[in-house]
Amino acid sequence: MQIFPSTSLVQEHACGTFAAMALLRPNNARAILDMDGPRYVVTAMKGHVGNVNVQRQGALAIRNIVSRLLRDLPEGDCASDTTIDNGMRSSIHDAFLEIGAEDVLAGRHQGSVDAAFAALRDLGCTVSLVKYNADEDGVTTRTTRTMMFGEKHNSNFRAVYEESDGLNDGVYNAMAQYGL
Amino acid sequence: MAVNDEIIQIMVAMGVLPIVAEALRLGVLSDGGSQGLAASSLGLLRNLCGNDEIKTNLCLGSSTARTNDQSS
Repeated sequence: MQIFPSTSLVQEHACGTFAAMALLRPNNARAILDMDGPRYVVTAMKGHVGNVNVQRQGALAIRNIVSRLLRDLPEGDCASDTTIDNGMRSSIHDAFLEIGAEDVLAGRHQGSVDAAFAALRDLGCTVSLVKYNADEDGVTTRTTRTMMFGEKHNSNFRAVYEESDGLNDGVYNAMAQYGL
Repeated sequence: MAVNDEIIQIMVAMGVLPIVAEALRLGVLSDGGSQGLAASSLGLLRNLCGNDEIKTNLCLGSSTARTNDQSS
């Protein structure tokens, strides 16, 4: 990664290798952290801001390393254990945040936003997923949550029931029409 | 080729790890290294890391990996 810093394919595969090595293996994640892996990953992401593959693999690497190390922390019941856990937790977070991981993870690519969101969440950052939708008229609307498939704003739908003066007449006319 | 665990195990049994290590070493040589060779070697290593034992061997060394396997 240091020899070919400008080659995006090298950076992508190196970040992907870190991500694969840290997946489900806390000892590997610890080894990557100890050999300054976070700096290599963040440097690659900073150097290839426009490359979605590098951004995605970098975010996956950060996410896998952090989540595996945090999950491996022992569950402590007494106050001293909790203090130690919090210290270890913050040291893991700081290893990434102090070198600017939060800035590089701020989503710029649709293809890497899910991995970046998960990485930021595991780093303890306050993060929200913002989605911009362009409707048929070209008007851009902003939603603060992920919309479900098929979910669409229906302008004809009235969520509040309002009493209508002509409702009874309409019902009676319909009943008369069908001979009821 | 290294797309599933069975294939990866066969490739490693056939001795792919020393070959890919040598390819990566040649790719990153300070004089006359090749970006393509380095990237391809890393890509293969990345796929080989799909196997848990192999990725632990690559990351920590074979002795540590055996210790971890016995303890878990």
